[in-house]
Amino acid sequence: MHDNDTFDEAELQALTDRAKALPRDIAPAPEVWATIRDRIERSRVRTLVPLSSTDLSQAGVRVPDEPSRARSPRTLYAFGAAAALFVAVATLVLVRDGADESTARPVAVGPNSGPLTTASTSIESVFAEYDQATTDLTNDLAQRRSRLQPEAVAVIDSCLTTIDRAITESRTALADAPDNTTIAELLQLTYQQKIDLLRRAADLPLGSL
Amino acid sequence: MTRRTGVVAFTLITLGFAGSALPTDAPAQQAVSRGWPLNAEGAVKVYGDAGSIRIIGWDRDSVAVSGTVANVAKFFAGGDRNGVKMGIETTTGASKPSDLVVRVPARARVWVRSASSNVDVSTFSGALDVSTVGGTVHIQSTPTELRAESMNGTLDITASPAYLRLKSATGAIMWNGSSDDVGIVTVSGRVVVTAGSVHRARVETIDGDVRFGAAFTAKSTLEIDTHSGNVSLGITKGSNAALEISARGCDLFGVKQGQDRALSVAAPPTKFYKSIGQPLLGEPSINIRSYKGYVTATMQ
Repeated sequence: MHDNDTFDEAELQALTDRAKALPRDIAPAPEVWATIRDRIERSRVRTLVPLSSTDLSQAGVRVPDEPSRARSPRTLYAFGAAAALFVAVATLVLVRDGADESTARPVAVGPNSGPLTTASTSIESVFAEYDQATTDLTNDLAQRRSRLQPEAVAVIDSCLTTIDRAITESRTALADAPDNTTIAELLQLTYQQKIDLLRRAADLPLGSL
Repeated sequence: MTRRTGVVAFTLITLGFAGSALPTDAPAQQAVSRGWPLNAEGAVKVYGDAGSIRIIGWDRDSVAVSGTVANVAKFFAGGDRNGVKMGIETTTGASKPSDLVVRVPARARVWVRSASSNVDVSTFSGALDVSTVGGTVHIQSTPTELRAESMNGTLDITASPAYLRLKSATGAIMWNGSSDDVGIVTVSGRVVVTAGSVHRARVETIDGDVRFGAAFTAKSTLEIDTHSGNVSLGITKGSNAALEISARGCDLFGVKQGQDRALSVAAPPTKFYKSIGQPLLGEPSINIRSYKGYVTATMQ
């Protein structure tokens, strides 16, 4: 039998012990997210076309009439915000459940407790990221709005009004009951719906409907 | 020339002038009739604009398309035995209705995109992906997997795919069938599900009401999340389920609990629990959360 296939129980035990000694969670360094954000921000910078379309076509370069259908950096940014909010809400859930196992299924939700403040603050900071992402996508929509059919714009506007009202209500309720994971998770889903709707709006063909 | 002959001559001359004034170069709708060989499980992509797209599965290894194309549009198509792509492209001015009937191998993989075309699919049993902006989607088939999406058109689905994803913005979503894996998402559309059985299902709305009727086994899971939609849950007799409901109030099998549905003051939802049948211990199999909506559960 080859050496690599030999089962070494002592070595396995040592490996298991070393694994057990590792910390259960390792928080990423703050600069990691800053680096990621910088990278995303850099990718949002759009290169200006140096020449006119006529000049480029004469040079053999094709300029598309419409924006590229490829996933825009802002959409990727939105994905990042969605992931960040998911992590924040998950943190709230874990912290809350871990704080008191006996309250895993509370009938009535009580006021905030100590460890939750950090998670709540984390969620608040993520809200800002989410709002920024939706603002970017909303700006993209504003640029395309005049070239979309009015019926499609009316549907999108109606949905955005509904979603924004839900976000406002949920955030107000969460401010009153910051440890309410139900509201936090519903709010997360509402934000995800907004991101998804704006992405779908960005993918609408021009002149559609 | 008699008086009568004169009247007839005047009429003919008048009609002649009128006829010459009509546009003689306005083409009628163009007829389309094309066909291609395609493997039984080949891919078919169809792009539509306005009008209708009808997909019909058949037991031949070929694709056949027929229909009419508006005079402001052109039909394009191409492909080989592995895949065929076709569609309507508006060339000038505003869209006008074009109607296509596309016959495809019943087990093909079909992908449809349209602006406002209504999409109808029948006798099809392959993988199906349909997306339209403003058109309605009507599917009555046996696809293996199904994705259907419309912004404000209605999704009317009768199918039992293993994998089902339905999405709208304001359009209603109606599904009849059974499935192992169901995902339904809408902002304001009304969701009406009449399911035989589901293994795993998830419904999300913002203010769209949800009516979900199904048979549940001890291994079934259902999650319904809505901000302000009312939820009506119909559970088939003989089902096993443990319900966990977070809502402003509810009526569980005739017993009212919590706050009245007319209450408008914002407050955190309250949790309610109920078990029926012989549910397994552990996590609830049906989890409904609504911040402002009211939940009703009945046996059916």
